[in-house]
Parts: sequence; structure tokens; C-alpha cells
Amino acid sequence: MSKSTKVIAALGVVAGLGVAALPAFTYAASSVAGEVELSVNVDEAIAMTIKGNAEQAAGVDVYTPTGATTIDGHTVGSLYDSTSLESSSSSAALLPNAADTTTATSQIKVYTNAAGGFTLSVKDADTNTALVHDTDSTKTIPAGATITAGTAAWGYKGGSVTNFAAIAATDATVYSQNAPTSGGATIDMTYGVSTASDQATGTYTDTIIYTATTN
Amino acid sequence: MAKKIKLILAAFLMALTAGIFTTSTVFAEDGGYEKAPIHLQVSPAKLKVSIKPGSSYVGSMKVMNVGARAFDYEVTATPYSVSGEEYSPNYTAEATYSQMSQWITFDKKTQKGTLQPEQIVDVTFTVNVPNDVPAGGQYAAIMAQTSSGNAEDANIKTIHRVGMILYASVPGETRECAEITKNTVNSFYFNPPITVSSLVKNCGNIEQTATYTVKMYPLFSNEAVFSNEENPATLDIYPDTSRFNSISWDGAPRIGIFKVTQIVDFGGSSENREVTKYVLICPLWLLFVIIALIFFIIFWLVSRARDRKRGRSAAAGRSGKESNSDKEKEEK
Repeated sequence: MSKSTKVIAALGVVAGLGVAALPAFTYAASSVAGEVELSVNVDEAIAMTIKGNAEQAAGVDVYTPTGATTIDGHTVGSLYDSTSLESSSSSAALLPNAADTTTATSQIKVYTNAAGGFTLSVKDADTNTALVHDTDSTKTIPAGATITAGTAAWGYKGGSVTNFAAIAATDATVYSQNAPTSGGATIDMTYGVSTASDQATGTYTDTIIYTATTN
Repeated sequence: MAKKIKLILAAFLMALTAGIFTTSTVFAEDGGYEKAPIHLQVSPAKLKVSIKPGSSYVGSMKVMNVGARAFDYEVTATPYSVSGEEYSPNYTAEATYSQMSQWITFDKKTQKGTLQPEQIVDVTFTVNVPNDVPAGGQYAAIMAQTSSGNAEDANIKTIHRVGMILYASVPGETRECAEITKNTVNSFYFNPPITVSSLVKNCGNIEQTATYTVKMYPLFSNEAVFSNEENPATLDIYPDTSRFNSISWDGAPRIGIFKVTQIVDFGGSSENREVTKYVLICPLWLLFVIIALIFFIIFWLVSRARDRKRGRSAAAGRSGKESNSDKEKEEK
């Protein structure tokens, strides 16, 4: 067999295997109705649940364990046990010059039987979009999309928002679907927070609003 | 040569049939339903009413606790409009067609309260329509919200609210007008899904409801492999807006040729109402292999033809030399 014939044969085998390996069949099952006819009227409705672990994220502490080195008034070294970040709330500490982009989350579930589906959006509850210190309102962690240790910022992502985004005072779409939900639509949101090198200690908070309406 | 062509074809067919009978199993795990701690529901999800200038309309919305714990709730009215072709909702801007929220008042007894699990409250609202309201559509959202469920020491507190969209039509000079600006089916895909899209513009002063019907047939069959004809998608298009919509067949196979049709209806006639196209779906790497195979076959045929020509010339040259040498021998 000449060389070119071998090449053609090999390509033919590859093409054939490629077609064979692709799932080209779809099948469906159907069910059989029962003998008793039941009639019920179900109205259109829309519902939402939220559960989350948003307690973390913005308590800033300065630890002074024995033997730690202090540089420019900041305490450095291994200062907290990572497990306490999940189990504790107000004592969950973000240090100055730190960032956390995984711990604080909300899980939102929307249910609707409306034919047009729904849209979920999020906005800040007021015009101040920063996380604000609980006793000194001049100290803030502003809303931002870049979550990097050393720069104070907080943002959110989830649903169709794939990168961290700054919360705004107007509604921003997080997720939308043009069909009724089946078992609810789950949207997992994550909040990222980072602190400046000289971030004041204390607790920072903000309130956001998730809104679900039919399309 | 015929033997070699047969060999290549046999190799191709063997490879094709070797893995063709594969089965894949898809199953869904059905777990029990566990009530969420805080689960707020409203019904209906949208309400369409007719209001007259200078009159009042009284309506109601059910607010339900379908969760496991009690929660506090409050009902408010907000404007409702949309921005962009993706129809991002806007619950704050008051524009020409979203003034109605200012006319809405609530029964104080039911506007705020605490709902126990499985409790339902009928929240009554009144729309007091001014005398000088323009004819056409007006839109608002009636929102039920709760902030219960936040831990006391939570840093990022969440309020969640669920809304009923209220559509009102004011009689008078209403203009129903819509046009289908785009109705698109792409002809080629490297991967599933196959997606059809459209853009519908409302050029009137009252909302239009558009219906989207999509059917997909295999190349040599009249039986649809994907169709939403029995339950077409329906979307409302608001005045002075254009709405983009797309419908996908996520279960499309990774290779095949299909005839795809999308029909967009809104109760009027329009260009671009129906589009039908043949769609090829084929992975990129397989496309390269098929193109390479075609090129090699062409190259092989051309080189075979050249070899034959050379062979004939060489044979002609040899027979020419032989006859010359015969002639020389004869002359000698």
C-alpha cells in the first residue's frame, strides 16, 4: 500500500471513529395517564428564598499574639485559624491588607410557574454602596470590582455575573430565564472583600436588595 | 487500485459502526422537598387591568409564607420599566409609562405584618387614576419584601422582595404597533446548542405580547426533534422598547443537519415573521479531519493520474527506442 493510501486510510478511520463517538441519538420516555380525572386550578405565582453565610467578610481585627512582630503598627504573622472564619461570625477577622473572595455567600432560589420565567436583580438598599463602619461612618470599604489585598473594596458575583462587580444603587440583573422554573432556579452568589493596609478595625456593614419578578 | 479503494471504504465503515450503538443514561435524583426557613411567595405574578381617568381600581395580591419560619413583611409599589434589548428591569425610574406607582395606596391593615408558616394574606391596593393620565399602557410593580432571616451580626444584610407586575391600559388613543426587526437562525455551529434569536420593537403606546414558535426537523424527516409549538414562549414588549429573545435546543446532537423554523407572532402582520434555514452542526476538529481527507483524496487521485501519464510516456519512449534500435539493426 502506498504512503498516500495509508494516510487516507488513517484519516478515514479517524473520521469514522469521530462520527461514531458522537452521541447522535436522543430519546424520550412518555408516561401514561391514569383513569381518574382530577381538575385543579393553579394560579401564577413567584417566590424566593435566600440562605447564606454572609456573616463573614467585613470584620477587621488586629491580633497581637505572643512573639509577633509589629511593623508600622500592624501585626504580622499567622494570626488566625482559617476554620474560625467559617464557624464564627463577628469574630471572623479580615486583617488589614487582606482579601477574601470565597467565604461569604448567599444562595437564592426562585420558583415561578409564570410562562415568561423571571429576572433576578440586585441593588444596594440606599445610595451609599460602601460597607460602612458601625461606629464611624467616615470609615468605609467602597464598592468595587477589583478585590485585591491592600485596596479596600467589596463586590459580588454569581448567576450571569461571572466576575466581581461593584454593587450599584440601581437594579442590576443577576440572572434571567424565559421559562418557568423546574424545582426552583438556584443562584449562588459570592461576596468578595479586601482591606487596605491601614484599614481601621471594627465591623463594616451594608444592606442589599434582591428582587425577583416575572418577565 | 479498486482493491485499495475498497480497503479504505471498509476501514471507514468499520470505524463508523464500531462505536455507533452506544447508550447514555440520564436520570434525575428525586429528593424530598425541605422547606426553606424563609420562603416568600406572591400571587399572581402579573395582573392586567383596565383603568379610566378620574376613577379608582381596587385589586389585591396574595402574600404567602411557604417556608418553615415566621417572617415580617411589607408591601410597597415601585415603578416598572425596562432598559436595553436584554430587558433589564428598572424599579426606580419614573417615565412616561411607569407613573402608576404614584397613584397606588394600600390597606394599612394588610400592608405590613408578620406571616406565620403557611399563612396567606390578601393585600388590598387601590389605584387612584388622575384625570389627565395619557392613553396607553402604565406599568408598576407591587413588591412584598422581608429582611427577616439575617443574622444579627451579619455584615452584608440582604432584603429579598418578590413582585407582581401590574399592567394597566388607559382607554383613549391607544396605538398597537410592533415590528420584527430581526429574526435570525445561524447556518453553522461547531457545538450544540442550536439557538434562534429575534428582536421585536414596540412602536405603539401599549404593551404587545409576542409569541415565539420554534420547530427543528432532521434533514430527511417531517417529524420534529425539537418543538415548542404546544407551549410557545410568550413575552410582553413594552412601549418604546425593543426586546431581544433567544430559544435554544440544548439537547442537539453534536453532528447533524437540521431544518430550523422560527415564527414570531404578535397579532399583527410583519416582515420577518417566519424564517426557515438549514443548519449544519459539526465539531471543528472533525471538520478539519474531513477537509484533510478530501484534500488527500484529491492529491492521491492527481498523483495517480500523473503516475499513469508518466508510465504511458515511459512506455511510449521505450517502444520508440526499441523500434529505433530495430530499425538501426535492420539498416546495419
